[in-house]
Amino acid sequence: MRGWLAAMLIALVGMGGGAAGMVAGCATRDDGSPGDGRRVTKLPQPGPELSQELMIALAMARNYHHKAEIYLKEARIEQATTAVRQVLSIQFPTGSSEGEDIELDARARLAKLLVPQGKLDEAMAVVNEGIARAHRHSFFLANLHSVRGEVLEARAAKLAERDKGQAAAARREAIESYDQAIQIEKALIEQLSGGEEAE
Amino acid sequence: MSRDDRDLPGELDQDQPVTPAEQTRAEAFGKWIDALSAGEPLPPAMDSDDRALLETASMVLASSRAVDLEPERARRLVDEALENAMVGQWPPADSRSGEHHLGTAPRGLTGRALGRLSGSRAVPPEGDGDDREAASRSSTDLVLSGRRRADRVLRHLPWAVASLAAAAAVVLFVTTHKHDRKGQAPVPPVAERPLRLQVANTSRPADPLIGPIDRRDAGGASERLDILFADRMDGYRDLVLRRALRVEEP
Repeated sequence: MRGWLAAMLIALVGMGGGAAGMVAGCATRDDGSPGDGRRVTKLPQPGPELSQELMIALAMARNYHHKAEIYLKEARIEQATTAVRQVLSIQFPTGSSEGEDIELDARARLAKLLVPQGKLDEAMAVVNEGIARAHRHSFFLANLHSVRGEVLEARAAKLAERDKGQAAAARREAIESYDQAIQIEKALIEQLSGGEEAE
Repeated sequence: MSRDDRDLPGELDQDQPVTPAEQTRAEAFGKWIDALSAGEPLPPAMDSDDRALLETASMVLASSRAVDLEPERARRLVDEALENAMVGQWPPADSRSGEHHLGTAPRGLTGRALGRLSGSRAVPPEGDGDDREAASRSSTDLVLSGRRRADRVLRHLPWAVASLAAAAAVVLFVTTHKHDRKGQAPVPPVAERPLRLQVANTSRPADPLIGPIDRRDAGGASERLDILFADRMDGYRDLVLRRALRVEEP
């Protein structure tokens, strides 16, 4: 009987802790975000312990990237694109920071592979979807903004002869993307240097 | 004894005269009986009925007279009987001494045995020297049989001790197990101390590890992932190892 009481007490405490963690998580996600809900004023905190599930997902993503490397060495760009696209279908643990970083990086690489194939719209869609799904600022998000600028540059170049106005608009948008990337990088560098000084 | 007697035993006619063949056969049978009494061997070839009749006749002769044994022989037989009584085993019937065993009745007596049993004439048996040696050793046979018995006991003693020890161990195990269950409170399960997670053991953003990404390396996701994977694998292995070894700081 005493054991049951203890188990119930522990369960209650656990449930309370979980609820508190959920509340705290929601509060953390909401605070300090400049409009889009992403943290830039605070160093990202360590999450749960590394799990086997996460390591398997990372290993799978790594294998797909290496597979794409081999295709690129053989100038088989379409197969390389397919291999990188498969990284996006990997299921990372929910809320995993590494999962988000890997996805953003894979989208950047995928867009860079689509541009030479002339698939600018698809490249832009891949990039925009990644930016929209990001939960926090990171160097990977900054890199994706940077790739978005490249895609816009390619679009501007393509439109230069047909429509100079749209080409100019694309160039301006590209500059904005690069500026966005620079801002994110600056903020992150400051955070990281501040964190190192604090340590 | 007549031919009719052999052929039709239930229809013997005493009034008929003895035939010459029957007379001849009776005389031959009488000679065989005399020869047996004198210790001579039986003829090698003989009708089975005649042999059976001769054996019966020799047994009747042996039982009708007193058997005179030499003192050493008698002593040896007594020793053998005592030894067998103490050990509880009888020698096999086909052994050398079984021929003269008191408890066995030989079905077919040889001429030598018959000569010994008849007592009418002191016929020294063959190999009498061996018997005398055996008779002289017979006084030590009792000691030897005692040793044999002790050897048998010693041979079985380790097994008996081992069996007793095993039984005692089982009894002790059962009794102490019951005692533990009854006398002591159940041991509470040892609570595992939670691992003290270090930053390297946690899932976290890869920004501090990767740093700013140069524009020229924008598509270099593969290299970055290699770095990230190696770093996380390091932390994961450390975690697994500490958990397996239960090495934890106080």
